[in-house]
Amino acid sequence: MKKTNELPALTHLQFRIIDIIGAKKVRGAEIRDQLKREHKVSKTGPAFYQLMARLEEAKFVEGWYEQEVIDGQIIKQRCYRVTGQGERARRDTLQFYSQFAEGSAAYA
Amino acid sequence: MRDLWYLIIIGVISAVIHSFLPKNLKSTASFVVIAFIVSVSGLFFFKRRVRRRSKELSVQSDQNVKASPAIANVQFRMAGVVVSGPPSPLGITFGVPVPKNPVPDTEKNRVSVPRLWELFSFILPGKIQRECFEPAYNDLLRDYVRSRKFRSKWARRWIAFAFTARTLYMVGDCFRVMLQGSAGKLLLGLLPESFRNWWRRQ
Repeated sequence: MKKTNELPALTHLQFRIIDIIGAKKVRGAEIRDQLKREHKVSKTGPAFYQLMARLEEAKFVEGWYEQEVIDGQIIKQRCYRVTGQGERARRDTLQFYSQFAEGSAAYA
Repeated sequence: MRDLWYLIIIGVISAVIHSFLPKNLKSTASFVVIAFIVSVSGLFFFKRRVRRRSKELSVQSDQNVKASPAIANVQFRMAGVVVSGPPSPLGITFGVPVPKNPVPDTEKNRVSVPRLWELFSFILPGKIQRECFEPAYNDLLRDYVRSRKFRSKWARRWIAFAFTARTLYMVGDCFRVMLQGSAGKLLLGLLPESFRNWWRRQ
């Protein structure tokens, strides 16, 4: 496999978030819950949404508000979807780390 | 006597908050500031209670009017099903169950929350308010709507207190998020060294 010198554009957490969203539309609260449940990453609401805002600024995800009716009341929920650029960045990151899967020469 | 109780409660709450401050920020001035903030918040709560009471009274009087047999056209909502009676020339009402309707986006159907919670956010810069506070606040509202199944007086009071505390914590957290950004670091440079040292340890 050809080694790429460029570091990936995504951090480990951003990579995982894009991986969680996948090809579907996911609510922000769901992503937060999944991060907490599976990886014990307990980010506070504002910190988490700032992270998502950064992903949106970088055009890796697309976010919008959706209205949901709970007990007869309208609640706005932030929903996210991965863009083409985000999917490309995820694949690049995956490729970058997979080149080390066979082991580095320094540890041989 | 009642005023004395209010003063004691304000004093106790201020003392508890003051005890959480780091040693270098503990002073009489900071205690006075905290006591002031607590009193203003208390005033908001009092006004909200008065407003809620007057609203409840007006709703009750409306219900009494609707319950009157003189009014033929009745429409009320019950567990997502609207039961309505068309106006009849004889003045007799026939209840016709209508299938569950989509809830229209009106002011009435939006979550009625204490205004105080939304007011907290105005202290934040626009970008932080839009990007960090608002989505997190909407998640909080979702929890709040679910918690409204508890109807008793003390449960409602406790829920109001708990969600107010959570909103305050959220605003504080927004400040923390803001200070961790590049603009925040510049601002932090202007503050005293002791505060910066304390902040770095957080």
